[in-house]
Amino acid sequence: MSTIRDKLREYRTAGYYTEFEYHWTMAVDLDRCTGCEACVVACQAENNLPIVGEKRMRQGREMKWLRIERYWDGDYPDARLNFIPMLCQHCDEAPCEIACPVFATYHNQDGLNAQVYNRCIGTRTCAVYCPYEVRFFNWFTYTWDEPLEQQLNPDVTVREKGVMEKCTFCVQRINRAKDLARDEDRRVADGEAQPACAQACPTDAIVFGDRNDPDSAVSRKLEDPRAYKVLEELNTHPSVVYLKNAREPLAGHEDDDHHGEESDSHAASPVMWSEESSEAVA
Amino acid sequence: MLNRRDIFKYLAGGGVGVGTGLLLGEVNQRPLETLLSTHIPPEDFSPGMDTWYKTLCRMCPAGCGISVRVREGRAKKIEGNPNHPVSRGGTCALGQASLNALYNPDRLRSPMRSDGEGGFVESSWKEAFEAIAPRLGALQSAGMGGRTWILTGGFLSSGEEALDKFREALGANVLRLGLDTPATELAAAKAMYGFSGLPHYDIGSADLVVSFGADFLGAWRSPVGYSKAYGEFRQGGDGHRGYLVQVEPRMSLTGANADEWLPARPGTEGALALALGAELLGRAGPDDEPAGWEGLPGALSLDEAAALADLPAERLRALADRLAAAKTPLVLGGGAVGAGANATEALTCVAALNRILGAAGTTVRPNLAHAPRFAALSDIEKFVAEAANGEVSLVIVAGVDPLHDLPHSLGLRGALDRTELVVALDSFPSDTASAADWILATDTFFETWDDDISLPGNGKLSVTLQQPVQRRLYDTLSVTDIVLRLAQRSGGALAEALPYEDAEAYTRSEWATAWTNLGIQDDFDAGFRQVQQQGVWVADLVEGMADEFSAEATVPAAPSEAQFAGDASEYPFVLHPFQTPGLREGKGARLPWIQELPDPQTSVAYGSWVEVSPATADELNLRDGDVVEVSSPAGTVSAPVLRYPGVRPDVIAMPLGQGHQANGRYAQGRGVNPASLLAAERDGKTGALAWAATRVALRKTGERVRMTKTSGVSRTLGRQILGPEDEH
Repeated sequence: MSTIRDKLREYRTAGYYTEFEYHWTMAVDLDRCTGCEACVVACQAENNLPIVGEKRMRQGREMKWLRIERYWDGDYPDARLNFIPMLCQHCDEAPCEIACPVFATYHNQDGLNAQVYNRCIGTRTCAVYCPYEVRFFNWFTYTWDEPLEQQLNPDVTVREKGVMEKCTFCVQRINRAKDLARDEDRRVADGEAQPACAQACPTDAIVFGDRNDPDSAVSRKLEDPRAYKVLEELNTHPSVVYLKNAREPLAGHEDDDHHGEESDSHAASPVMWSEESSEAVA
Repeated sequence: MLNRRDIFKYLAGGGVGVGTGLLLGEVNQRPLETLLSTHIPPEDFSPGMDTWYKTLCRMCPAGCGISVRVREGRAKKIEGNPNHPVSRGGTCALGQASLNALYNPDRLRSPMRSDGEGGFVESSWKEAFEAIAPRLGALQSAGMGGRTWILTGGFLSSGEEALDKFREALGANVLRLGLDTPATELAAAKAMYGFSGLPHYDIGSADLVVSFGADFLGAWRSPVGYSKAYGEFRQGGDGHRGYLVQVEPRMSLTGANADEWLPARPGTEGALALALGAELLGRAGPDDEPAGWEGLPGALSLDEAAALADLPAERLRALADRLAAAKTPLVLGGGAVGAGANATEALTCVAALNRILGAAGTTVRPNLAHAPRFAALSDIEKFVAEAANGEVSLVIVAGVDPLHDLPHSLGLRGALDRTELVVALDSFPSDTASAADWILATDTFFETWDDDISLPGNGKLSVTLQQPVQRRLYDTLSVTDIVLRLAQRSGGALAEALPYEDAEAYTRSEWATAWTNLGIQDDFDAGFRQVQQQGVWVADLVEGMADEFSAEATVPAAPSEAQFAGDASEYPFVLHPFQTPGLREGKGARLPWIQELPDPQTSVAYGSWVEVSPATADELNLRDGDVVEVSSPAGTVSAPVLRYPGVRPDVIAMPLGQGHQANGRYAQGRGVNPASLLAAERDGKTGALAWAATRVALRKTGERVRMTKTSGVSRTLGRQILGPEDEH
């Protein structure tokens, strides 16, 4: 008997879809990325991200689906700063998807990690399960000082208190491109669907497209020897692929990873206290 | 030097190529299925349907083309214009956030009249013109136009041209103001290349870029255009990867992306460039004859230069090796290097290095032989002195905010106070506008007509058209509209000089004149419509319009020792003010998206901070968030400390752009303004304002604040977030 429970189990299995109609993928070339944050503002503009204000921001309630992370190597005068844009990785084995009690987050037919706002009941479990820390919870119903609300994108839902949100790969743009392609009885052409971040990027560091198409620009990027995935060891199978920065490593700083800047210790991750690093600190 | 007016005329002799490219099109996007009725669509929109307008971004003088998405008659989103030869479809954070200016709750909605007690009352255009035009007319008929000063910025636009015609007809004075103007760079380009304009730097085809202080990826000149080129420089199609060396006392965004960051002592960069040049000349074979110079008298040896700049000598020798081996090297100079007391001398040495390397003509290329003439410090001082003597009757401030952006020690506030009538043309109650008698509320660039020649551009003439993408939200007029109406109402030569109805008629007339001068036979209306669709008009620089390299250049002299305001024993640190990609000189502060954007390198948002090297901070017992008093001979500010690993121990760095006394709720009273610390120092050669020539002292106040800072752990801690580690 095919019970609801069986259906549920099947649905909950990561990779419910064994084949994706499109397999949207993003490649970020860290050798091109300068950390200028044009993408961050472009995302905020496209996706109706709220302005949370200074107080909330200081409380860590910033809402940025895409952020630039920064990591220092070495010390003065051989200090070096590295940037990496961090956003929802649209994992094909997404930890957040198996966590949601109401299936508000699920994998769609295009390989997108989708969030259904009006299913979400705000348990925030998904955010806890996400190793990339790219899910954002609406602790408040944010408002816009009039008439700033007039800039809101009519294609994107404005979220309310109690809802989890995150990068959608600009699904509204993807849907628009698919809609157009369907009307013309063809597949979406390479480059036709571009998320706001990729469109804005002044160094063309972000390439977006369909991994199912072997000739797409993003498929070619995946073959680059510099390609890697962040926290790949967690088997999340991200759909965001990074191309490693091609700078020569700083000479004489192999041990950098083992000491943190004191000033940032309030936000230290548990990794900091692994056996290896506590030895180095001691 | 060429006049802007002449540029169109010169074109008459040459060919014109209208830029081709993707035509994203006004309406090539199909509408979504919609439930809204389209029975009686208003004139300028159909419900549910996107309209894309090509226009110009006016947030900085780079002149990038943008494409604005409009839905239901409201601008919704900025994207880059892929047709545009400079921005090539890219945008920056500030450009993306410019919609916040259009819809800003604190934008001025009508002309405002000062109530004489620091406040403003709403007024009308009729009242405003009736108050101002008779004063202008009286000045004009009395032949006392010289008692009028116009304070404006550095655009090469039709609007600025109208303002200039106005000034000329009145016989008024003009101050083209800005903190980081290219005045010293222009002087160096003149001396070393024989140019009248800014050079075109071809970063994309360079294999080695050595930048002395120019933050070309962050906030220097044309960040989007240079970023596009940087992408090609790093990972262009042909497999070469460019190598970037950044020489600067505080790691800028460009420095953070460099392969090598060399923290030279401030003010020694010119001597360093000259020493590298002498080294390369010494290595050159007898047939090479780089630049036609046999030697560089006064140049230091690499060892001496290393000692002066406080850098390891072996790093300089390695840099000289790289420069000698590079096929297409390029050396840039700017930022604080272009703003010291020896700035022009330093930038001349940097340009000389390009000549020695053979970069002049390959990676440094001729450009438009024209640039705005920016006010030197002596011009500003003349204005301040005349105002003090009661010789200034009228000041018109057009869209600039010198009371915030420029050193407070210049005394501009006092000068405005002593002026009989101050009229500010601004969209916001900026610091300067708030000191005016009248604020004439202007359109944002989304609501009116204008154009701009991209500077430094791309080695061609790129004129970007600005057109309204939506109706005016409020009772505002453009600067051009205001100038035209004031001229008409004042009569006389003013009215004759500017016989146009409004900004649209004037802009079209300027373009039509160019059409005629070019001898284009095609229908102007059709041609202009095509420019409206493309957003930009690109033409090759014909003879007479383009700069040409001088055959020979004088051997560069050794730069004089850098002088700083303030005694080193009393003020032990050099102050390094810098622009962030979002805030720039202050234009970004009123935009909430920019306030909420963490600074790229430090992740600080919503405020100011003082960057102190960890070594110095340890010495002074300073932690992140400890409030320090930074004092210079010119002033004092207090802000929290941020321990920044990328700054010299003898340098204190502070971001510009915050610390507004007015300017709306997002900017007002937030952070501090380092411009209040800057002494009125000048470049020895040009007399341009030297904004990086002040020393400061630090004092711990004992107060402590929690900064708004988003970054967590600043090291990867073995997590391989930046990619798998290479095998050692």
